[in-house]
Amino acid sequence: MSDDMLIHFSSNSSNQSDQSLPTKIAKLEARMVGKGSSTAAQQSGWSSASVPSAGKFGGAAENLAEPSTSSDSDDDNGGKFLIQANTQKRQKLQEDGSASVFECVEVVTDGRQTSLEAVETKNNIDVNRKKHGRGRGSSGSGRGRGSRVTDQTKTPISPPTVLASNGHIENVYHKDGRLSDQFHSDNSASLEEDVASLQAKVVALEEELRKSKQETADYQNLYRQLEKELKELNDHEQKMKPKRMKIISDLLISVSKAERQEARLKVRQDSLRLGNVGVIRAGTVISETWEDGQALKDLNAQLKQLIETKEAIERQRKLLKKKQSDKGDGTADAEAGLPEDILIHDEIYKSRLASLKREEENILRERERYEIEKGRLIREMKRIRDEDGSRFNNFQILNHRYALLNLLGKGGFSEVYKAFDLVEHRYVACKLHGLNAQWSEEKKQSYIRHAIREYNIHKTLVHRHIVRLWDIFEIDQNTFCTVLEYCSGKDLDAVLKATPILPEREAKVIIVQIFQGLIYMNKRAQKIIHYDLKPGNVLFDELGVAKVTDFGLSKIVEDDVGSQGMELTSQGAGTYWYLPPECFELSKTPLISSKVDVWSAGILYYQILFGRRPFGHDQTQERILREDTIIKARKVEFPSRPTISNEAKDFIRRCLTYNQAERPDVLTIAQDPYLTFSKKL
Amino acid sequence: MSAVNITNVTVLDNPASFLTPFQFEISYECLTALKDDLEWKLIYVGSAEDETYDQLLESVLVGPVNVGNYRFVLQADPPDPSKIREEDIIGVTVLLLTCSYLGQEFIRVGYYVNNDYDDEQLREEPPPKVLIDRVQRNILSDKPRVTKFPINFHPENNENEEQLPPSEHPSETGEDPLAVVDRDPPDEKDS
Repeated sequence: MSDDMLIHFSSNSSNQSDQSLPTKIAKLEARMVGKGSSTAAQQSGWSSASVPSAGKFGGAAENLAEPSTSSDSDDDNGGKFLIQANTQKRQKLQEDGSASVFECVEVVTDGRQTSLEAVETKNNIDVNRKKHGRGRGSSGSGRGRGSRVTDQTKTPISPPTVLASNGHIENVYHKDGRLSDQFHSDNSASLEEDVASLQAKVVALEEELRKSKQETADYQNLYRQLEKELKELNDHEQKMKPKRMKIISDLLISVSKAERQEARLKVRQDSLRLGNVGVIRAGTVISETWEDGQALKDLNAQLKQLIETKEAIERQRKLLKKKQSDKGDGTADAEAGLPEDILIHDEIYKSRLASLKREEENILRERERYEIEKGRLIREMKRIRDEDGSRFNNFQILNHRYALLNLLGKGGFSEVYKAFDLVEHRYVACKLHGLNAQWSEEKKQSYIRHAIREYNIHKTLVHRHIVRLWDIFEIDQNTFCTVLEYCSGKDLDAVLKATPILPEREAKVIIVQIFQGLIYMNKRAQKIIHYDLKPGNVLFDELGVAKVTDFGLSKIVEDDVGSQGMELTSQGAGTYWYLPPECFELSKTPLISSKVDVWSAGILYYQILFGRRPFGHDQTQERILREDTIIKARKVEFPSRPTISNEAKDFIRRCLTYNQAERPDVLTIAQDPYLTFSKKL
Repeated sequence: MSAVNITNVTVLDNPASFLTPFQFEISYECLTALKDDLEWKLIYVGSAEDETYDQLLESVLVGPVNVGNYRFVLQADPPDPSKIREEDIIGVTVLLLTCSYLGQEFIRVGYYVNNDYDDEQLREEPPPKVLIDRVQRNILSDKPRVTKFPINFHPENNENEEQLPPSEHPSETGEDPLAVVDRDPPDEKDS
């Protein structure tokens, strides 16, 4: 239409350039639908059903995000302490690094020690051999010259003594003439044999020594060669490592970009069918509202037509009955024939009405399905808008190892990205906590302390049904990041939006897993209260295992806490539908324990089974507070449909025991036979 | 739903000379009785770029209005050429017919208007100064742009209730479907 008008106008208007006319038409178009000229300037092309720019509404969201000033009473010392705590954490990280480096040094040292030891061993061998050689050589010489006795006597004696010794020997010789002769002869033969044998040994050992020296030289050459190869390999690895990381990162980025384009394309296609966000002008205020798509409009039109047809047939039926009563006054012959005809017509109308009713039910069912799809579409549109408005949507690598991919979702003060750990080679979820730069210092410190407590609780939790916390680090002055286990399945909130009511068997297996996580938290030396159990905080991995997450409101139960419970120091926080009555107590400081989580789990189970929360389902958080909805939640009512077992109802009643003293805690309710699978449903 | 709906608008005396008065025959229906007056306005957009060149040609009050169908002819003087920039007289612009209740505009009908010389020679060789008496006005009456705005026609009924934001499809908790829900970090005394 606009194009036709463009052609029409351009042929008539001789004093306007063709280039400026489309812009003018666009601005006039905006005026006609009630937008100011400033808004018209932002129009793109000829689109008249425009979606307002993300920046504008992003700003609005930012204003909404501006919380009131905190009443925190901490002084500067507390702030400094917190800063120091962060420093200590960083120092600890450095120490860990140092420890690793030291280990490397030790390894090197060990190598050197081994080498040195080898050298020492070699030296010892040489020394021993040298000694042996000298000893044997000396002996050989002695024997070679003649009598051993003579040699030994001669060597250490002075010349005058030689004469005396010589005389002594001659005396002995003279006395034992025959015996001396025999000894002399035998000794010579034996010594000669020894000499020969020892000479042979010397030759063999020298040969062996030569071989060992050769082997040593060979091994040293091989060692140097291997060392060189190792160095080359290390250098190569050092060069390849950043390249490999870059390649992986680039591949992940291209996959993520494709996913983004696909998501946006799908949203645009679904918008045509299911609807889109439109702009409503009330005076000078512009607000967003939902405009149903063609599919829903068609369904509503069909429904309306069906209702009209039904009403028409009802009128015909009443007319027929009236005719019947009138005909009753007629002749007997006419009466005999007509009643049958009238009855047939009545049956025809009844059948038609039944048929129309079935068709109406079909349309209503289809409309419900469209409503579900619409909800999913709205969630995706919200996610895409948050992603486009995020500061981290350009695939950064955080802390030199976490490659951010696509946005998973955005919460009150944080946004969560899917990311890839380039060191551990696994997918993770990076939760980016942003402190508003305009916050007061007190508020910032309060938030940081709150996040540090969450971290300290969460990092120690290692359980199949609890999301793992891997890491935490700062990004800049106002931003830090926690790295969590990535669960590729949906969260329970999304599951319930798609399927509001689950069969009891499926619901039971979910609640059992949640309780197993709670049991783990309560069997530790330090018990933990989660305090924020709700569908959005239960995630599923690709195999369907349920995991509890988000410990931002959790509480550590100190050892000295009595059986009554600990004091609730963060009253007002949390999601009110899921909190027990004692959390809304205003006359005194409430005492809480794991019974809070038991109540929350009971509400959760009720919602999974019946598709709505038992208390305050249709109320806003503010209204729940104003009308004391939870404080009045003394008894839980169960709808008649769907059919749920009495055991399940009794279990829920136990969880939702109004009186805190009588309500079982986590470890007590864990004994409930309903939570075991020994008995079949 | 709106208490008043326009059922038909007929542009009388079209095309016409630029200096001819406007005449609109307006038919509308009233679904619920209204105590105060309806205000009908005719606005000539003098410049696409600047709203200050808008001219309010006529404003009439009709009322009180009871349930039923109504019809009247709204006549308005032509725009003052001296208040329109020279280069904006010849060419395309829009005409706005609006209706308000209690100061709240609830419906707007827009028409494209094309102003040009009636003489072919003048069209091909436009004179440096506009000859206003030779300009022809052509309203594209077969392609109106109708825009409706939801307003509260009966503010006295829910005087004691909080006024909800205008929305045909409130979400489960009555919030804007795409609004971001935020919460404060909890106040901590010690933990």
